[in-house]
Amino acid sequence: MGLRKRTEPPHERQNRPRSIEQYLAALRVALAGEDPALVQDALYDAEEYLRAEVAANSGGSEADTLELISSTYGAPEEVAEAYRTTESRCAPRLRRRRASPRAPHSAAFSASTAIRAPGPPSSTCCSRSSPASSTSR
Amino acid sequence: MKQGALYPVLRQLSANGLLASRIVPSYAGPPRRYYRITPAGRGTLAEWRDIWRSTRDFVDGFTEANGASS
Repeated sequence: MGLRKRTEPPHERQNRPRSIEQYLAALRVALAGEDPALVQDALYDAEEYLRAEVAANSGGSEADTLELISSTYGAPEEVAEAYRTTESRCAPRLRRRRASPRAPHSAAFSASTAIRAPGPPSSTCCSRSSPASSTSR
Repeated sequence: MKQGALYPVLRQLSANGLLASRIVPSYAGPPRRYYRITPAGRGTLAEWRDIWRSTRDFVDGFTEANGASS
């Protein structure tokens, strides 16, 4: 994976994690108050990703590698926000779908079935978080 | 879009049975989790794809009709 540096404001530079442990601690703080299972999954995902990337970029220091990784994986606050947003947007829709497999997603794509009044379809579940990247790490 | 935003989505899809995952040891680093789509996930994907096509066809038809009349 190609990692590129981005320009960073000074306040971000001061606060950025210098180790995986610091990154995970910051992520835990950013997720404070969330469902413990969500926090556990987020920490597991982040640790797995960070350790794999540090191993794959073993030429530099952990701090330098983390700086690069944060620009692609996201800062702890950004990652926490992604979990929070996905939880509030997608979970209810997917749960509704599981309860009633045929109907619920028509609500998410209401323009397809109730097309009489033109307008933008309501935002779709996971539309914010559906990059075409690989699903394996 | 940061890559960290992908994992919450995978988590939700897994929690709802649309994806399954397994952890595989890696020689070059920590164990890695691999995801695969489940039969329920394929069914849902087909459903969503149909809905999306219908939406796209409607929008295409609507914009073409309006473009032709203006």
